[in-house]
Amino acid sequence: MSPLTVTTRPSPFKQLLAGLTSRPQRSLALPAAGIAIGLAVACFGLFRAARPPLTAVPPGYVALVNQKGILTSDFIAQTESETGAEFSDATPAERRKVLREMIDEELLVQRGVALDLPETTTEVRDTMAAAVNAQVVAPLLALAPTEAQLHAFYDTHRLKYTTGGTMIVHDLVLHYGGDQDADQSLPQAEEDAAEAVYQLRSGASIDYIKEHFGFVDSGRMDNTEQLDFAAKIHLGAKLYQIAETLGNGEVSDPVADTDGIHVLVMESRQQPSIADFSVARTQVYSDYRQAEFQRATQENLQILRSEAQVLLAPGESE
Amino acid sequence: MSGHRWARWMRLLALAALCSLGGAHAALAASGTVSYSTWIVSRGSGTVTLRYLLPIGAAQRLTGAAIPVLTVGKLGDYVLAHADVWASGHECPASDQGYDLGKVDPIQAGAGLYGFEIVFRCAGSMTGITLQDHALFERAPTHVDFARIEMDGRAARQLFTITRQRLEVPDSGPMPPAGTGAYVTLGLRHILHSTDRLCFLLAALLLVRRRWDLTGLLASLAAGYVLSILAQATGWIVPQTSLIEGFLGFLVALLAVLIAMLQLERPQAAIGWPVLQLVLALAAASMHAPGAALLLFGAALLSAGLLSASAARGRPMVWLPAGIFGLLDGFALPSLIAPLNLQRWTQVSMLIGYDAGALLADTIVLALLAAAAFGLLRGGYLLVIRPAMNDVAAAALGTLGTFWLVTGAAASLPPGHLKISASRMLGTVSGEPAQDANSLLMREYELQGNTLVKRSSTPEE
Repeated sequence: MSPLTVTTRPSPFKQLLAGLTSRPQRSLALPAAGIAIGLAVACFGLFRAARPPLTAVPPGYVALVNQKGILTSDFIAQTESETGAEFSDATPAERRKVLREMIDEELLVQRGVALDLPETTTEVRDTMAAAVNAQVVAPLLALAPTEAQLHAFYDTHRLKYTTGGTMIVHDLVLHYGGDQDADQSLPQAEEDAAEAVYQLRSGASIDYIKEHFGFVDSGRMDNTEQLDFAAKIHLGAKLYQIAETLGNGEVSDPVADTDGIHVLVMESRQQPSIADFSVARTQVYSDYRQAEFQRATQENLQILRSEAQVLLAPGESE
Repeated sequence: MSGHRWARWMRLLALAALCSLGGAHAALAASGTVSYSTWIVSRGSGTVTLRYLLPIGAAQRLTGAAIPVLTVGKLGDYVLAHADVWASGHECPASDQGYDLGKVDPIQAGAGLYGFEIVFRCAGSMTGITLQDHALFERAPTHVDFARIEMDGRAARQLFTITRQRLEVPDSGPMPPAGTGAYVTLGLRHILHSTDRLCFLLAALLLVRRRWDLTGLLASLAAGYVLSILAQATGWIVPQTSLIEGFLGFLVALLAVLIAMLQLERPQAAIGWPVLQLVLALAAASMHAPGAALLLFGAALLSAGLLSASAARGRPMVWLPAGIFGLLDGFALPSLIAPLNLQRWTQVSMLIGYDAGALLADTIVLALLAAAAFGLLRGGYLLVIRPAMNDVAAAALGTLGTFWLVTGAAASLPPGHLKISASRMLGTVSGEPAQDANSLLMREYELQGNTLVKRSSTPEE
């Protein structure tokens, strides 16, 4: 360099401009850090830790079958059930036998699930439905009802707890229009029946009515004392509905039925009476439990329906 | 100069748009399907029980000529018609299993799988047993059935492929398992029939400048596969398949960006790619998809670091994406055979053959492409067409890679999650109450009887 060469230092402004516009010398440290961190973060998203295989039976289980556990409590209960003795008294051979049976049962259950038996086999479906219902009501049935609850149930269902009433009733019938009664028309039969009822209520005997008006025993009742439910079966609903309103010695109005005009003569009537709570308590208890069962299972079904989507084929209804 | 740059950008964008139209079909072209079969040979009872598991995706390939409407019954009939057992020169018919089940019993196989059980009863002696599986090969030539043959208390792993639809059971001694060669062939086919893998190899080769780079590329691929086998051998980690496919798409797109960046006068413009990844990561995070969000965030950092380092060195660092590719592609077979719940060492032995085949295919593809490039170079054509070729490749590969990345990330979401999340986002933005997926669905469909029918267009539409 010539000693006469003059160098001028650039102004601060030009130095600043050069610093801003010139390409800096970059190191690879930052890009390398970006690559490393990026790879690590991406790997967190791409992979997850493998679930360690179960090689030991967890506490509370006696065995694992295809990763499904058999509870120790179930094992104890089944052993006691099969041996009829305490679990501690069961021999090792007995315990092994029970465990083998439980493992076989678990394998069969898992196989049944794989074969989708709950969808294809009615026996399995029935058993499963019953088991679900039993599970739903188990908490309710575990609580014993109080006396107050039983009394309240009894009070609202009194009519269920009646002692049986009895009756001795004569069922007289006047046939008409048949081969043997060709000259007997319905209006005439009704008129005769009305007269017969008047006579009976005036004190005429049944034999007199039979002789003078042509009434006969219908054959539905055998003129002995019958419980109400038996009388209902024999007389039929129509005639029983009238008979149960009659008192001792009362006579019914004529009733037209399929086989003629009937007149009921109540010889003796003992009305049914409602049993005392103390007498009916056992039945009340049983009915109360049954009612709880029905209520719980119906509630469960309502919940299941509210969460389900049920589609019916066109033209079908439930 | 600015006009030249502007023209280049416009050319890239136009090519990307064109390629997105044509590339979508290639992108959707799925690689092979799989199924899983267990053949239980019982000589004592004279039966062969077949348990056949078919993923739903594979079953849907049959919809059309093979099965007009996909139902469990029709699928079972299809399997019955395409599986045979022969013994002593006679066909063993399938037997009725009672309980109105017929010859094919549908079984519960787990989420995403159809399962069927068929029992073949062989009259006469159980010698010369031949198992035949023809299902799906006519619709999916790359279909593979991973078979397990159980006999005399022992089991052997076998394969049914389009070229291997019959297996002969020895009359005495154990059934031999499929050899390593069978898995090498599988690995070869896996690469040669996977569009995304081939695109990666093409993109990597376009970044290679010297022969030494090609060697480094192959070495990185091999290292990646070895690392994958070691990871499988430890059994510590499990891959998330859909995200891996998405990340492979990201690698393709990343190389495409590298190709474009190295030709730009302002390489800083490539910063848009990591920014795009960050935006996608935020979107994934807002949809409560932590896996996809982490993946995209990591991809953003990786992209930024790799692009920056490549720009600083003036040369692409293609060995790193190649190593990652090898690592992730090595998880392809474990993803396929996951439903089999194999012992770890059995899986590793299959994996060694499979990955060796994949690496061999990578080598063959790269060698062929390199030979073609060398021929063009010798003829003097490469220098002329290289800029345009790089532009076309960058546009096409970038589009495809981004498509695979987004679909892979979206596939990792639970079914319906995307629709619900999108509707929630829309509801939040518009101020209207968010709607659930069912009400959105019922806008498009109406219930006629018990069938959902798409609504016809209204006159206003």
